[in-house]
Amino acid sequence: VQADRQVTLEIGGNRLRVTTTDANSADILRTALAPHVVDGDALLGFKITGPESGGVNSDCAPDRADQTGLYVLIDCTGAVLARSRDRDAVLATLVSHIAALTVSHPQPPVSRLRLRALIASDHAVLAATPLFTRPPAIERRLVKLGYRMADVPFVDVDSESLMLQSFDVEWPSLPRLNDGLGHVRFSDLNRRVSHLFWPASHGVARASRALVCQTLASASVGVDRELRLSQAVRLADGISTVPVSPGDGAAAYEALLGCGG
Amino acid sequence: MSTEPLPALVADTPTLRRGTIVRRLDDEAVVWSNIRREPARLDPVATVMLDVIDGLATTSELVDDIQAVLNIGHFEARARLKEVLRLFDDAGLLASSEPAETSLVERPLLPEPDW
Repeated sequence: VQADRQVTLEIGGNRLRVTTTDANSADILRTALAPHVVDGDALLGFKITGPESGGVNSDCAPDRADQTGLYVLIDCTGAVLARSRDRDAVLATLVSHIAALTVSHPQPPVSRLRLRALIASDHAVLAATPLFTRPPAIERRLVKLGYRMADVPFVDVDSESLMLQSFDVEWPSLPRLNDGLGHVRFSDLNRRVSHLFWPASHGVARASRALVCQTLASASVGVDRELRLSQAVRLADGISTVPVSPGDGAAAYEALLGCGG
Repeated sequence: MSTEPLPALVADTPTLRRGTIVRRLDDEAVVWSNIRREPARLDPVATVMLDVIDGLATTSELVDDIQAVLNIGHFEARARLKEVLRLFDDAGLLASSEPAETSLVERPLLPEPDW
């Protein structure tokens, strides 16, 4: 990757590198993320592939997306975070993800969870990996069902009120990038969590409290195991769990139909 | 009666490791060992065994207990015990369990690259 197409960032003591499809995209990111831009190299954190780039070797088939003329944002696990023909929309998703990384760890009773969040007008649905990640979420399909993907690498949820927290990030140099179709950025997440989509395997039709608690505690972030487990129990007791087969591509979208209100 | 020994990971008198957090939920449990990065879920049988494995009973006595409580044959009881002890070992619950390499490290902001 040419030097003018990548940006190295330092966030919270961690260095990561972002590669883009063109020098102009890298310039936009350098402006937007100016306080965090540093010299030197780092492990790859995010990558944008575009119609003119070669894609990456992952099971998310970004190479195929390239052939369709899409810009694709991929994180370091190979998960597709956004796909759009509008390059700026993909950049907006990337900036939102990185902005969230600057937010300090929440205080109890708020729990930080590595889960996908789908935002509707009056509620939110959380989804555990690999749901809506592998295979990647289809933005147009989500929009038809009244949902948008939260462009954040984790969510903060109040384990008592079950409210999803917006991230209060001061980002004066954030460019005026419009959110892409089916995406919502870190500042507009405040909704009550109504459901957790849980990846059911081997024909499991019901998730026990212990299974849900284990999923939530595993997805949580922090060093205090006691606290993480306590908050997971509270969340497991308050949020309705919907088992969804990851192998059935349509199942997750069909399940969203029953989550309104 | 089989003379095949239980797996090597099983001490003659299995003992639970201290420092494990246990949450009982209905008839199951979520346990989090201080040598594991993530918690584990125990099914109802394994949850009962949390109380039965007291550091005093030998594996032979535990097999007898399972046989009596579940009203099953000796071989099935041995298999159940073997299964539970393996589950406990994977979850880092036994005094003899090996620490996972990353158990004490906080997860990074971003996952490690795998491509």
